[in-house]
Parts: sequence; C-alpha cells; structure tokens
Amino acid sequence: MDDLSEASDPRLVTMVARYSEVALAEIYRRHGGAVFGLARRVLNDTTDAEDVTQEVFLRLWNEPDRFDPSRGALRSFLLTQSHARAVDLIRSQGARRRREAREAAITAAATYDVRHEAWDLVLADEVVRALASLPPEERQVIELAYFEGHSYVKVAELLNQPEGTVKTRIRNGMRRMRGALVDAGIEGAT
Amino acid sequence: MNHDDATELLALYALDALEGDEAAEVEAHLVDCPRCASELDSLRGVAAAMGNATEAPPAHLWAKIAGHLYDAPSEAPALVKPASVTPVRPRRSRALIISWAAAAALVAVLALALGHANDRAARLQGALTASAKNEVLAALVAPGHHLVTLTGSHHRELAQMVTLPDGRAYLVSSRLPALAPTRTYQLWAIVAGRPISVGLLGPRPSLAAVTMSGARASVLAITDEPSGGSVTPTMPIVASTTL
Ligand SMILES: [Zn+2]
Repeated sequence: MDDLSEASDPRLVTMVARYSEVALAEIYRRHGGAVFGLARRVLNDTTDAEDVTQEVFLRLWNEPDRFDPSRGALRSFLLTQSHARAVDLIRSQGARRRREAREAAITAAATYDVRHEAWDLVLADEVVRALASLPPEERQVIELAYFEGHSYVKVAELLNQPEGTVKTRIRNGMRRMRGALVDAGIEGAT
Repeated sequence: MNHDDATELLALYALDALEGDEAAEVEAHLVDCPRCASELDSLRGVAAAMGNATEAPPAHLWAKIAGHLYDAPSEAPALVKPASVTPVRPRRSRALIISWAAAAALVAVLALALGHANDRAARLQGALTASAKNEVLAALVAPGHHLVTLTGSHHRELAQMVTLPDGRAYLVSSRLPALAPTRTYQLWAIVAGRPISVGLLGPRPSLAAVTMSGARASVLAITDEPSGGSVTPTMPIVASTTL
C-alpha cells in the first residue's frame, strides 16, 4: 500500500523531481484550488485563472528545485507564484482592458464591500479578523495592491495620496497583519 | 540598493506592488542579504495567508495540465517570461521527447515513471482513446482515490493502480514483464477470501480501466494465465497488494 495522501508536501516535491506524475497530481489535489482561487480573485476571469494555474503547476513540474521547504510552506510558495503571474497578466495589455471596465464599476460604487462579502465566505476567521483589525487606511491600500493587482504607484494615483504615504501604510499594515496572524497562531498559509 | 532602502520596500515586493526598476533593485539586494531574504519569506507567508481561499477549479483543468507535462519547454504555454533559473535536474533528451510525442499520449503521460519508454509494444498495447486518458488522469485527483502499488517477489514494485470509491480502478503504470502472446495477465480481487476475476490485462499491460463492483476487496492480485483468462487464479501470484 502506497498512499500518497499521507506523504508530506516536501516529500511529494522530491518525487516530482523524479518525474512522478502521481505526486504532482496529489499536490494539485491539495493546493490546486487555492492556486486557482487566488488567480481568479485577482484576475476576475476564469480562463485567465486556468492559464495561471496551469503555468504554476507546469513550472513546479519543470523546476521543482525552486521550492525550498526551509523557506516556507508549499502552499505559500505556490500562492506567491500564482499571485505574481496573475499580476503580470493583469498589468499586460490584454487583461488590462477587461480590468479597467471592472475598475470603473468599483470606483463608481466607491466601496469595496462586494469583495469583503466574498472573503467572509472563504477566508479563515483569523485572517478576516486580522485584516479587520488593521486601521482602515492600511487595509485599503493592502487590498488594492494585493487583490486588485495594483502597484503602489497606481494605488497612490487611485486614492489621490502621496506615494510615500501609500508605501508607509502598506509596510505598517503588513507588519501589523503579521503580528495579528502570529498572535492567532497562524504563521502563513499551510 | 542598500539594506535600509530594501527593508523599506520588502512589504511592497511581497505583494507584487513594485514595478520595474524598484523590483529589480530589491531582487539584486536579496541575493546578498539573507536577513532581507528571510524577512521576505515571512512577509510572503502573510500575503499567502490573505490569499489562501480555496475555490474548486474547473474539472477539466487537471487533465489539461497533465497533457502538457512532456511538452518541450518552448512548447509550454508561457504567460510571462521564464525566470533565468539554471535547471539543476537534467533535461529530458530531445530524442526522447520526439519519440514520446509520436507514441500514444496516454502512455507518454503516465508510463514514463516506470521506465517503459523504450517498450514500443507496451505503448501500442496501451494506446487508449483521448477520453479514456482523461478518465485516468481525472482518477488521479478524484476525491477518495487511492493509489496502490502491487509488488511481486522481493518487494519489487510491478504495477500501480488507482482505485475510486465507486469501484472503478485503473492500472496507471506497469513493470510487469512481457508474456508470450498466448498468455495474459489477469487481475483478481479477493473478496471475503474468494478470488473474483476483475479483468484481463493482456500480455504486455501498460494501462487499463476495470470495475470492481459489489463487496469490498481485501487484496488485489495479478496472475499469469492462458490468453482467454481463467476461472480461478493460477499460482503463484505475480504481484499483489493488500487494500
Ligand atoms: Zn538587506
């Protein structure tokens, strides 16, 4: 009996390095939904999110050595890649057009609550609480950067705030988030 | 960029909120500064926790990904430029990729792990249709699936099967030695101590789909039988696993 569902994530990556398709399938079963979910949230487009997910998993298959278990959990690693690719895509020309249509709608409504409702359904309580505990001006800039895929320069432009202010708020907000997550016993995605 | 400047920008970098030159400067600093690298790992963990919300991907996505595993790197879909990372692992030789592209896609995807790359007969034997291929690939990520390894004498791993809760089972890879054309491998499920024939796998098995309906099997076993199959297994058992 060889049950991969018992194998640790780093062990599965080691198997992937030896071209084990079943190990990659098990990693996908565990983390595919998270990789896809984050990409879809940033891109707001299922097809683009599929492309990002595919690229993240093919990259793990082709370059498994890029994952270093001493530097964090496999899911964090995969989510980092998913986010980076989604952001690259959204900043490229094609995706930008779709995005701008949505941006206009959001700006017109002058609220980000739609997004918050979705979070409540899917995020762990502690993460929601940690975000909610941030000063609103810090939470807003982090959300615009992370979930909307904006650079801090763009965030400053959207909010009509000085770039230096946005930088500082993101930095302080992220440190505060970390403190809250550590207090809640969460050190990162697992 | 010096350490203090980099420290100021790490949180933004972790959110992918830097662009162009600033991102490149932070990256350059990270190479030489373990403190910043470690701080970045931590901040990325925070970002990942925020973005950690599982959403069921479309059902076809895994099969699509699996279908690209043996693409040559240039054929792989790339949304963004690949980072300049030196592969530590040796690349598959171009010749192997070409020969696999010509072979049945199912075998290309699944059988390589057990080293059947040069067994042309096994490839032809296993040439299933594209829909059967997708079924096997889907089984590898289906809820409740089990991957089992059938071993022979001296604990040699001879075959791998995926079983699903609904009784479907798939032979996904095989190292069973080829038999004479007048022989066949036969798969048995031992249910309540009695062997029940599950299906014939042929003299050179590579992939197969079978159904084990009814009572729960305690053991899966493979025997060597005459080409028409047998009613009761002929000893000795070639490979088996306890479920
Ligand atoms: Zn530094």
